[in-house]
Amino acid sequence: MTKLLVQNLDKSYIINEGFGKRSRVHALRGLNLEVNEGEFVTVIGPSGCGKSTFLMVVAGIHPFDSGVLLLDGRPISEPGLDRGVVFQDFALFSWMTVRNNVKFGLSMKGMPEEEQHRISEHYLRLVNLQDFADVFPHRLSGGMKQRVGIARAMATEPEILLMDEPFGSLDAQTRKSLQTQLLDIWRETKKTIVFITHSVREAVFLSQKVVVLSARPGKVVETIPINLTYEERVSLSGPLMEYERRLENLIEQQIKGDASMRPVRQPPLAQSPDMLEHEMLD
Amino acid sequence: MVHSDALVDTEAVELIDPGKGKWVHYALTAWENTWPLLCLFVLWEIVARSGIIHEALFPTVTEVAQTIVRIFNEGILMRDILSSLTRVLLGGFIACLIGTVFGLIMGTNRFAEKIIVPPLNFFLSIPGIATFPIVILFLGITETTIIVTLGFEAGLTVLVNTWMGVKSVPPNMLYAGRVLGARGWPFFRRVLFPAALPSIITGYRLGFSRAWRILVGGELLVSIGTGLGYRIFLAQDFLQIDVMYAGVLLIGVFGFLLERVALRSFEVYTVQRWGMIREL
Ligand SMILES: Nc1ncnc2c1ncn2[C@@H]1O[C@H](COP(=O)(O)OP(=O)(O)OP(=O)(O)O)[C@@H](O)[C@H]1O
Ligand SMILES: [Mg+2]
Repeated sequence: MTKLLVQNLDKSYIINEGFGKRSRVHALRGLNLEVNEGEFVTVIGPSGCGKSTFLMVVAGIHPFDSGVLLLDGRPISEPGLDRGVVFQDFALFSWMTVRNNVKFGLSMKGMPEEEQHRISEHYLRLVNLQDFADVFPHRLSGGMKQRVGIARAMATEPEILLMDEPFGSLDAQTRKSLQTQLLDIWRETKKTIVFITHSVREAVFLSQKVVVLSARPGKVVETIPINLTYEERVSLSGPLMEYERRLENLIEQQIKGDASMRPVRQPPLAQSPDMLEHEMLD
Repeated sequence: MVHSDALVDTEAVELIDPGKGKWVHYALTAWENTWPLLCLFVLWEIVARSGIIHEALFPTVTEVAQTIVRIFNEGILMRDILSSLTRVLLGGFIACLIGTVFGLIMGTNRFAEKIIVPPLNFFLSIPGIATFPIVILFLGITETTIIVTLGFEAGLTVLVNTWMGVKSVPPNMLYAGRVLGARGWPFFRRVLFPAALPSIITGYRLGFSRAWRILVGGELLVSIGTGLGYRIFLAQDFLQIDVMYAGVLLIGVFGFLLERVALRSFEVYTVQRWGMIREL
């Protein structure tokens, strides 16, 4: 069953350049994506291609220009507790203790205090931070902060979890352990997750489907289903490596801006010879 | 300063000083905050005693202190202090309240910002003192005149700082609040206000210091009959130099206490504890 449906999504930012001069930056153009219920989808693509933008649009924070954006068949127009967001830069509330950060969404729901406490306790345990419940976030390390971010986003039990490079700023060990934790959490809860990353290995390890975006304006270049069992993932098996290699190649071509990889709808930036060739081939 | 014990039981955290209790800590803090001032007073005493400046123009601190005790015993000083404090606290408090509310709105609503900014800049450049004669026309020689004028000017200062504070909150912080279902009043109270608090507290500081400045001029212009400012100017008419100094000294002391005891404590308890401002 389709959880999130994105069709022909366009999103641009208006930039005020001063003296009334304004320009429009196209961050996403003609993005198509379908995420099924309970699916773990990873979006990968070069820096600045519009991944965070896409997530913020789905979160309902940024309005989009045109296209279709449906969650459970209903159009998305504003933020809601049916979507949980983990931010690239954590965005924890520094004026609340770790526990109160996790409780925040619940208290906004008007949930009774004891229940808030019980649920926050559960999620703090899940991310292994129960001993730090009463600490203010500035005393935590980056990895710990991000775990609070994850607990906070999950506590409200959203239908879909949107994660923007949650492990991007962590060291390899913490990253690895959090990836495994997240995979376990996902297997347990069967949450729908849209996960953004720069790391091919992370994408292959975690997800059932990897979506590769083009350089800005972002659009889907390719969607690759990852058919690996849990054991194959955690043991870093041969098939996993195979997927990795394939994706690496794909992304490399994206970065090099190989004309044959360019989305067809993108207007030609310059009439380079290979661009013409590409068009003639069509 | 350690505010939480949650980390103490883990192996990595070692207690290096159990502290000497609350009262010793308060005493030390009080000492830390007063010794530079005391040094200044000692310097004053030395200069005054040396006779570099004519003693009629520059009495010693001890003389001024004696004067303070004397006029206190005469009964007028207490009334002056109370009325000045009431005016500053009342005017300042109203200013903080209104300035904060409008600042938060101005920092989140484009329309409100566009409407408020031009008049804000217009009024910001007019000294409160200059408006006293006009306000007196409407409100007469009353407490209200002083409190309104003082509150207005302090309020503008709070407003500017709150507005700028809100505008410099990292967007993701606000998005996180909205994504977690905060909107309307809870959003303002639990996300926007604390996120902008470092700058808002600066606004309160500047607001209160402005309030003191206008107060003194106001008490003279309105000639309301009480207040430290009024006392200073009255003393000038009678050439009671020591009383003039006493008034000035007391204003400084109360301003200092308000800042160090109230505002600074608030700051330590909030934004410093939360790591939003650095502790040196
Ligand atoms: N607030 C904004 N105003 C104007 N342009 C923006 C804004 N945010 C993003 N952009 C532009 O949109 C494009 C996409 O930005 P986005 O943050 O979504 O990239 P990203 O894929 O998340 O990059 P990264 O992997 O580095 O996080 C960028 O090229 C940037 O120039
Ligand atoms: Mg990003």
